[in-house]
Amino acid sequence: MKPPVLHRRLIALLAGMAIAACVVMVTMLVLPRQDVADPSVEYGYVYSGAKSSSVAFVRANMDQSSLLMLGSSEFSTPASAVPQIPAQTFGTNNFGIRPMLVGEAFDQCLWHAIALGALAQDGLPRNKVVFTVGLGQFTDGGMDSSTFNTRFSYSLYRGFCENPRIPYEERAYVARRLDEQGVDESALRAARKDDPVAALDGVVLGAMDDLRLRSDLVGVRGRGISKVASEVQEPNWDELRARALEDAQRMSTTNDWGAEDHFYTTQLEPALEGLKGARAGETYTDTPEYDDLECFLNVCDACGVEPLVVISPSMGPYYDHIGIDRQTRESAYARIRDVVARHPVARLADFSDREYEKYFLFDIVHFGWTGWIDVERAIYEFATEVS
Amino acid sequence: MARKKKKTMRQRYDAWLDEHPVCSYAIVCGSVALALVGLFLFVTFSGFGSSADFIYNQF
Repeated sequence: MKPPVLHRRLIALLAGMAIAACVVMVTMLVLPRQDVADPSVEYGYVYSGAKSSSVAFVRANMDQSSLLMLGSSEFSTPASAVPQIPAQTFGTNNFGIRPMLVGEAFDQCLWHAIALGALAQDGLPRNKVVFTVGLGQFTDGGMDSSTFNTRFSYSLYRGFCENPRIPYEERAYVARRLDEQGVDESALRAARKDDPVAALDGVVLGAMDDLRLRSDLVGVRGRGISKVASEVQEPNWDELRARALEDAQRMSTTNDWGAEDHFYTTQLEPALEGLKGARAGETYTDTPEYDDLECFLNVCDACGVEPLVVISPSMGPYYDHIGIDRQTRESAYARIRDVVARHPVARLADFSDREYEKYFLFDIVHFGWTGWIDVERAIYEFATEVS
Repeated sequence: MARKKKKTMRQRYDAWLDEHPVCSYAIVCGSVALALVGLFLFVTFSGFGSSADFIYNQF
């Protein structure tokens, strides 16, 4: 090949790289920034991993009336199954509280400790947070690495590391647990900026995560609801609960456990025979989740945030059927209570004694009609109480 | 009469590029841009590693 041709092809190669760089830059300019949000739209009830992982978007959607609520799959319950979910109770009335739901299925105490550390960097509205835990999080063996890795958020962990209020002990604990869960070490080092090369990695990973979140948030922005413009009113809990009971009796007619009809007939009933005694060996003891809960509460303490820990019950008759007896479950609830009791600022909304109450859950683990109303009442009283 | 030796694909390709230099530059430029943009789009937006759906039997 003649030298001039070689030179020109080299120039063509560089031109190709320049075009690719232009495409990346145009993409960055076209996608709205994470902290851009329509102030007339309420995004607090949108169930989304992207929303939950975006510190900037969550913060942009909160004001002084907001209340951060951390949880997992209970936030995915649709209003068509349970009309008492927060999006209905708080989202269609102005009770003076705007819950900001953060978390998705499989988000557990470690994920939430990181999320809280990232979100509470400059304090939180009301300096309060609601955190829901259930026995599903405390199963033997803890969460498997592959599931945890699908939920690990580089942006949240970076935000956690950048929070100067997080003490060394909690940083070290979280780093060790993330390592145990098999999170890519280079990503962890980059988020922590362990050395100049890691810091450079962090610039690239941060830019990529930013673009991915900006892209995913386009869908989230289309799922917000209009903010309620009416005057602030006091909720009538008795009336709301009576209506919840009516809905429950209408939507649960096929079983004595109080499960929602569609769930019972399509998911639960066909599997019941095969599940009898299937989990008799479960102890709820062989898991790092209790330590993760302790870590979450330590992060609350460090950030000056008052937590309300909501203990969600499991459906008693179902868990009896699959072989996890009441005593085993009660021991796990007691251990959760013990962890919370070690933190004087932490409050407890313990619904573990409602395992056999019909309609409190709509499936085997998620709050149902009267369940959500009772939980929302506890949340309302916690949020409006003057510390 | 000796038969003319048939050119290989590679020889024909090189000859074509020599005859059409502008096309060769465009191919190099386009291939590089496409590969880099494709890699960028996959790594950033493919959803690889996105969260799993909730499954009842996990509980």
